Amino acid sequence: MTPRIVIIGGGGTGAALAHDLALRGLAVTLLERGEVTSGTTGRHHGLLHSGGRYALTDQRSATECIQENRILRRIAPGSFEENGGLFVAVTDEDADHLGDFVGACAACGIPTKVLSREAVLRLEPALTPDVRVAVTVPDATMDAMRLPLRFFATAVRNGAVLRPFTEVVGFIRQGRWISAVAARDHAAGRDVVVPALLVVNAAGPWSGQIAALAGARVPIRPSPGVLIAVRGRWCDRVLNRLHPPGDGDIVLPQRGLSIVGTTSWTTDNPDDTQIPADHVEAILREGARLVPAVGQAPLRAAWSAVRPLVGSSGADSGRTLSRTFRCFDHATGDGVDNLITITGGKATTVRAMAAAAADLVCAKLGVIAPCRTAETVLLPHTAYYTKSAVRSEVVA
Amino acid sequence: MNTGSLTARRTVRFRVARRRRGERECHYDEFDVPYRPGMTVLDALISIRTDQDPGLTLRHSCRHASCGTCGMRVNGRERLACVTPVGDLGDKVLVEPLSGAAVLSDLVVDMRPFYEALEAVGRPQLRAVDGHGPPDGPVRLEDCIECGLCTSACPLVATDRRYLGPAALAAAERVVREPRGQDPAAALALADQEHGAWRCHVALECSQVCPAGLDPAGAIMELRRELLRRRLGHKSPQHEEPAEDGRWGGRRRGGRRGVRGWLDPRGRHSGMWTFVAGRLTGLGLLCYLYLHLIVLSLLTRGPGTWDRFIEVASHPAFLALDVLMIAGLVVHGLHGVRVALLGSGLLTGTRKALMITSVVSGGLVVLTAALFLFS
Repeated sequence: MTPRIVIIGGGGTGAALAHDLALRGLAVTLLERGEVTSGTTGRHHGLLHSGGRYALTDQRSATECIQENRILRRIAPGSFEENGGLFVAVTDEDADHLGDFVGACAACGIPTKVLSREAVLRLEPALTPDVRVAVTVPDATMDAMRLPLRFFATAVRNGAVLRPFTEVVGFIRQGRWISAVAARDHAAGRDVVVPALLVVNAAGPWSGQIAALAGARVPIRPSPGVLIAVRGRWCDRVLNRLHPPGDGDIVLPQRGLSIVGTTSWTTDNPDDTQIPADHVEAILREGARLVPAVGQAPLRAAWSAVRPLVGSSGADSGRTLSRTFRCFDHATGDGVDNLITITGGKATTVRAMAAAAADLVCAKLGVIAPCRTAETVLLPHTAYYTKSAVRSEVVA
Repeated sequence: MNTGSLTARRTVRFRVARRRRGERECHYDEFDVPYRPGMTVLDALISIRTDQDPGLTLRHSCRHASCGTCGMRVNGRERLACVTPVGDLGDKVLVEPLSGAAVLSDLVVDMRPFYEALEAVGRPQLRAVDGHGPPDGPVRLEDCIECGLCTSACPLVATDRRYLGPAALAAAERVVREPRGQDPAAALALADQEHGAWRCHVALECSQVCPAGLDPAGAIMELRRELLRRRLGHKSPQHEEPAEDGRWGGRRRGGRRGVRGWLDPRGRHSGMWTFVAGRLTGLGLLCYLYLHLIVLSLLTRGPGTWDRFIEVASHPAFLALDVLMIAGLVVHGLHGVRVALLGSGLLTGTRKALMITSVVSGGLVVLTAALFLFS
């Protein structure tokens, strides 16, 4: 079998990367230990960031967000509730941030409009009557699973091979070179060897563990956060608290539910999905300061998702770590010539992450092929099930 | 939800259907899982995968009933594992894949025919928040999360592999009600055939299991009403048949339960019970009809034989069988009337009242008949 580019990790990043490389005409196989989008990707809010949340503290991430926000709307029409977002001041202290916030957004290229208390309550009547002032931003909401499915479906149409339920257990090395990936095909109950031309580690919070299998290191800080869903659609726009990012300061709609998030801490075990007992209460309490009904609505679910933040070990809650992404070439420092890691970032920026990783892949392979993902409209999510050859691929 | 307490006082025994890719039959494995307050079935299955058997394959993604991927049968009833608390299920939990779809491995089923039917309908993902509001008003994602619970619970899907199924029919009804650039006539044409909206037999299980609180059964009745309206007053939509092999786009729907899907009462509701009763009484009455012909044929053997039969027929045990026959007739008749009414889109808003009226009036008729026979 001809060696292919092997992507490890079937989350949003892997999806966008498989699509990008397939579009450049490269042969790609993606391995995922569970079902695609079963890790961090499926569990986020469903928020297409405008970048407003990071405009004051993390300009680079904010700029990435607004650029990708515009591109994703273009290439995935029909997938977003394009109702916009609001940054809402509910205290005088919040309102003091107004000028700085609008200025920071302008500096990052995020369009805003300041709304009076009356105007914002007309738009979102469930908002707290304490609202002082609000700022509109081009946030949107999405289905956290179905957008990546569009990337996967399009990747498969262009020749990528997806292998869900295939867990990487090791690398077969020839000196500084990885010649194949050893994996366990759980669906068939047997071990497989996948010949590799180059390996891209896109395992999100698990990327540290994958890199370690090759004796390489990634400065990943798995940073879990709790989210909750309550019954009732209490708003149509993304409601953010106008203050530095904190706990329980986002409320957004998802079909007939409202999602409230998040909290943030750091851990060493990305499989740890425990929910600290006091977090649900804290989120509900803070969420109710934005939308009082959220505090009374029946709870539908509480869960945690682990962010793959890039940073050194020992960092605090994870709030101070940048949401931008990094691409590591393990040829320098770790002595593995054909392994790269793409990590960090956000669901909003997966296309840009993929473009950066794919550029590096092409440079390492000596392939000249430009990125075309910003102009290519994705297949609908249903195509993931109806058109894909996901299940038919058998590798000896 | 999975709270932090580690005071594992009890364990729950999970019996999980297993099948590797390519195997024809499934077997069951048992796992003891330490219970934690707030634990969901999904939490338990993931803990099995992490601590006991890494080879267990299942789908999951959002963990809050929004993606629809973790649909499965828990103690026989269709559920989303992520919002099903283990605490409500007792000490033994049976976990099986959805039916009405081929099993790919363990709890993972082939959703391809399901999505082919949805694609054929062509309902967009986005809809207006307020259908009557301004065209540039806020939008929202459709409420259906495409989990397939309705299809798995439907007794008609269990036996008719050409049936379009509740999810796709409900999607067609959304297109008819709010086209958003799609062609409602095409959606109606898809619904207007033997294996479309007319195939539903009003067991109503689809609406009972829907985790988004939708009413696909009601939507099917709406489609029928719209089709009738067009038949009576307007131009009839073009007739369209599924592909020759009965597949909606080319793939066989595997994993059907067959007649077991009609008679498996676990976790079912009144609509399903009447569906089962309708079928059983139908079979019973068919047997009675032939028995009746045999008895009548005794007349050809002379008056003595007939008199001996009349003697037997006067025995209280025989009279009890008569009452049973009358009860079967009444149940079957009332079920037929109910299906005819609901199936024509009539009284769909008062399903519960219709059910209660049927049960009460049927009970009275049978009681009167019994009193009459035994007096």
